[in-house]
Amino acid sequence: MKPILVLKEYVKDHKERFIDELIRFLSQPSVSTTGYGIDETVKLLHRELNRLGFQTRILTLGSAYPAIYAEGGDPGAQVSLCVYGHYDVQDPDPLSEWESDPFKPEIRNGLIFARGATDDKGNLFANIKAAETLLRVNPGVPLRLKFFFEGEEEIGSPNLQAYLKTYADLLRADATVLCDRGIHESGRPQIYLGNKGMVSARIRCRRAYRDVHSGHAPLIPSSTWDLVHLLGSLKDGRNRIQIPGYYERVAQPSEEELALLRSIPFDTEKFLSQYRITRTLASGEPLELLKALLFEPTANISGIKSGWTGEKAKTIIPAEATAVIDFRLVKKQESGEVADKIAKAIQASTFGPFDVDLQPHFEEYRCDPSNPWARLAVDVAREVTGLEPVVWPLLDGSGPLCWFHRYLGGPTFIIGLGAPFETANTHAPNENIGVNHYLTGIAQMSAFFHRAAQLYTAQKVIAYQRIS
Amino acid sequence: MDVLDQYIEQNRSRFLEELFTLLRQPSISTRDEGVRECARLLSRMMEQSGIKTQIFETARHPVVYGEIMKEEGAPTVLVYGHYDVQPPEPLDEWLSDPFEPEIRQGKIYGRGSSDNKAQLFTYVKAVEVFREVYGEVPVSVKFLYEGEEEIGSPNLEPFAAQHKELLKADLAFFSDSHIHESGRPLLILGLKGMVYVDLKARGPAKDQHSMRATSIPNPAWKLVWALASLKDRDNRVTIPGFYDDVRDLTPLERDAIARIPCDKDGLLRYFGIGEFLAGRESKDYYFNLVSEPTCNIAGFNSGFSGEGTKTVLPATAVAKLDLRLVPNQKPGDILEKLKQHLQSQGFGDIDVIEHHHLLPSRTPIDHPAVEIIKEALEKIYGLEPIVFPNIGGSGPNYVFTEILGIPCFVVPHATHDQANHAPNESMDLEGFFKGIRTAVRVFGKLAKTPKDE
Repeated sequence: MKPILVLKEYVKDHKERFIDELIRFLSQPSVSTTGYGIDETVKLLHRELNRLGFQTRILTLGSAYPAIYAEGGDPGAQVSLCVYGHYDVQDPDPLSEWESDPFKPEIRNGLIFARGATDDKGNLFANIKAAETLLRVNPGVPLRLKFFFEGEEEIGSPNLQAYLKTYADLLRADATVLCDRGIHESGRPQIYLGNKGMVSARIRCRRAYRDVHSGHAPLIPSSTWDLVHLLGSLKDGRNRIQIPGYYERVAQPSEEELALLRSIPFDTEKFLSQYRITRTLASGEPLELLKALLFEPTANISGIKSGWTGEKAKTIIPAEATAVIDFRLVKKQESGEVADKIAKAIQASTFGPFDVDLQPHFEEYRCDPSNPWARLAVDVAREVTGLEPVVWPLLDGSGPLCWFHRYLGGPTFIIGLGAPFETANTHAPNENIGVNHYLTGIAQMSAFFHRAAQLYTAQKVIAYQRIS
Repeated sequence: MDVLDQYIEQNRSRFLEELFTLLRQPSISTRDEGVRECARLLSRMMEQSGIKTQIFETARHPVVYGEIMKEEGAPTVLVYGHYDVQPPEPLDEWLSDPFEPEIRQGKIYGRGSSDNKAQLFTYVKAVEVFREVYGEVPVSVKFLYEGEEEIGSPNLEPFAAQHKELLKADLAFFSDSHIHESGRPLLILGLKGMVYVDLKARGPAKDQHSMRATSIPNPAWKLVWALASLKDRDNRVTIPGFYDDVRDLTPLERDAIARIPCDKDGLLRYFGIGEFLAGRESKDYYFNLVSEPTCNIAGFNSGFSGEGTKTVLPATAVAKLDLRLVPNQKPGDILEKLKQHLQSQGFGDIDVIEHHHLLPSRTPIDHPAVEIIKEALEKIYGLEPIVFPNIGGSGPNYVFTEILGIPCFVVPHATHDQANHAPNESMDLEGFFKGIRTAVRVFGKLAKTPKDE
């Protein structure tokens, strides 16, 4: 029998237990916003991974919630792989909208309902069960498999970068995959090869000491007008960002990336009705919309606040005005450099002075679609599910892939597991994962581990071919 | 006039006791507390001074109307005031009970003392002074004392429009406001008009993750661009036709403005700014305060701007806009021009939500009563009065100048530190008596003026 079929067979044979074990895991709360159940979850995972025969360590860093590191497989293997997940979950509020207790998982219509079912405890646990599957089926598999599970993702991963930096030697592997996304809403597997970078800017403008009666408006400089004029100069009415040099280093998508875009289902009408908007900013074919969505940098006002914002009429000249803008960066835009350009443009404004706090968050990162690890992930997903994977060359959002690449070396990308985010109710009441999604995830990841072990040979072949 | 002043001197303590009775009666219009009782009390007190009164119902709080009429042909004065007050809270900041008036260091403390009970009462007492001393008042006097000023005078204009004949007069006195901080008396001839609107731009149905910013239109950007199109970098309003109806100041008005004392450095320090904005033709503080119409953003709110980063693409953005108008700008016309401008700039889908309108008012500075009032103020205060063709604020004066079509004079007697609307509101004790004396002197002089100039 083909190895993948053997793995699938094992999953099928043990599915009752796998489901029971997941339900037990989901029953343990782990809310990072409040700290509820974090310690117990860490202990539970520690036991679970030890039981699997993994060397397990609880990593700590100051007052951060602990992260879990576990290593298994063949310590002498030539190929190593690190899998990232997070064991913390969003707060289940509002509780009244849950049809069953968020921490008492319930199966209805083939779906397991519980907080964290897809995001991300279900996906994390599928990886643990995938490791079990592989090691039971093929105990001598030549792969060093590392797990790295953090407990602060839902509060913005404030210490992830520091964890990666501090424990880089431990975590370093030939490749790192993140399993913190769902499958495509069509049911096809889904892989993301990159994410955008981000810089956020908080612009504050202060003029008079205090709010002044607006009868003085002919005389008193207005923080709000100055901010409006500044913002109006940063981006024009055609949505073109007017910061000098902002687009200088924006790279066009490659042919290979464009080919991936063509295989991504995109329904413009659905997009419009989903957000209840009458038009999208980019126009034309779905391909053009996808290109804009993924390959254009952004400057988005996420908040403005100034003066009186109540219902009634109050007449003041606000002393202070604040705007928060997030800039999402694409290929070759380096966050520090972009931050400098933004700062310069704001400082050069004749409407100043403005206080600006610029925070580079992430760098853009893209894994080359032809990278053997990326191709392997796509091939395995196709083989296990029999469906063509949806492969995103880039996420429209920003994320920490750059840090994994920077500190751990090697390529990194995201393999979507669990339910599609469109129906999984992640961060919302009645979060769920399909039983089949969960079991497929186990099979897909065990197959991925299995085939990763063979990459060493493959890499030697590639190297050989390059030489000759 | 000595005999009239003498009467006032002799009756000081009784006048104060009567005022205190009025101040003890709460009349908080915003929460309907004691308003009707106060209207009845005021009406009784006016009757005791020989004024025939009538209480008119409105949609909410009643108007106390009064009159004491001379023979046909005598000049008729209409006095405006309001007997309602602001809520006294926060109570723990008051040094004495807000509704138990107390005199400390030459000031009468109590809610409504300066705003506006003492000031409206000066005209009632002026009538009594004439009646007691001479048996008659030299002019016809009508009183329009409303109970809704502190909630925005919603029924003042409808009341005036419905009772034009009843309120027919040659000129109006507006008893609110305060004198100059230097202690010099003030005569205010006008107020600015107002158009107040919310501009609301809409984006996606709910706040969205900002990663969709390349595809979903962001209402905050749209509103920024729309607002930026309303004003240029020199602070000029760029709504086409905005300045078309602005009436130029006359040489007399310019002269009056030039005589307003201005401590520019002190004002800059007070506001905490480096320089004042320039106007269309001048950099002078008071010239611009009087003559420049404005377009001010009173508030702007969209998305999330609290601490930390929350990367949303907001569903809505709202700006609150107050435009202050000068003669002869019309609120309806300005609103229409604003809407047309937004339409023509591609912002027709931004909602314009109207709050309220006020017409601007500016009584002609060459009206004969101006000299009479100035003379009286100079005589009684011993200081040259400051004349404002209009001030920077807005209010219901247009009800007199535009609806009733008569000149309107604001002659305040409270001091600038009156703390109206705040704890420990006070009326200057001498200001109260100066107010009575001013009204007496002005009534006397008006009687000697030929009615048609």
